[in-house]
Amino acid sequence: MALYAFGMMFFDTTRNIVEKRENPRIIFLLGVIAATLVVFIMISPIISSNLETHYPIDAAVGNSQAIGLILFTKFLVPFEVAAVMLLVAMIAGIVLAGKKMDKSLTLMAEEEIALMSATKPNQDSEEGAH
Amino acid sequence: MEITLAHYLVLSSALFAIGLIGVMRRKNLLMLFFATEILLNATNIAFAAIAHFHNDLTGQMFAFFVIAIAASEVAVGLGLLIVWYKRTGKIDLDIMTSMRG
Repeated sequence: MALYAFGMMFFDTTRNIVEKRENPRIIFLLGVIAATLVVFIMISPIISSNLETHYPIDAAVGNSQAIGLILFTKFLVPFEVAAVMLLVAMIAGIVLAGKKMDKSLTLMAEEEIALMSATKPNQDSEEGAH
Repeated sequence: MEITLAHYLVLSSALFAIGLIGVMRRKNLLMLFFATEILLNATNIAFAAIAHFHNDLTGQMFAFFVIAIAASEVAVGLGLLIVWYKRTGKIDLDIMTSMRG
């Protein structure tokens, strides 16, 4: 999702894009593969019933302390990756929401807003032409 | 009455069903985000409950990362929603038929 947003940042999202139609057979094949994967994920606990605890809860230390200890020793790399992903998502959200933010509708007069909304369809058709 | 793992799992399944119905039926894009939040939090309840009853911290750790994913998903989704709203003035899912696949 964050990667998708990162890609979306570089496109002009205010104009229409004509989508190319893909081969339906490839989509069908990918759908079948995804469905079998989901079935495999669902039945995997039934097949392997020997679950073992990797990080047992110690009653001597509190829950928060135990989580902190494990988070910063065993799960440090996923933690950092999640932090970077959150940063990327935040930047992507700001950039996506901040496009054309130089024009504030609340500070404009009614005539300017009417003028802008009247000229917008022409802009879209010009941009869609090339 | 003692609360067992089954109670938590029933609660989690009920919340998951509510979220799934919301994802399928909601036409407002903002309400769709709420429904996805319900979905993710239902799985979080299941993870935390199983971690407690299984005496293992891995489920709680996974719940943490699910929370992080949910936060970034909503941040990006709201950005895209703002772009869509600026472009069309509506956040109705029924009018999003420009992509025909």
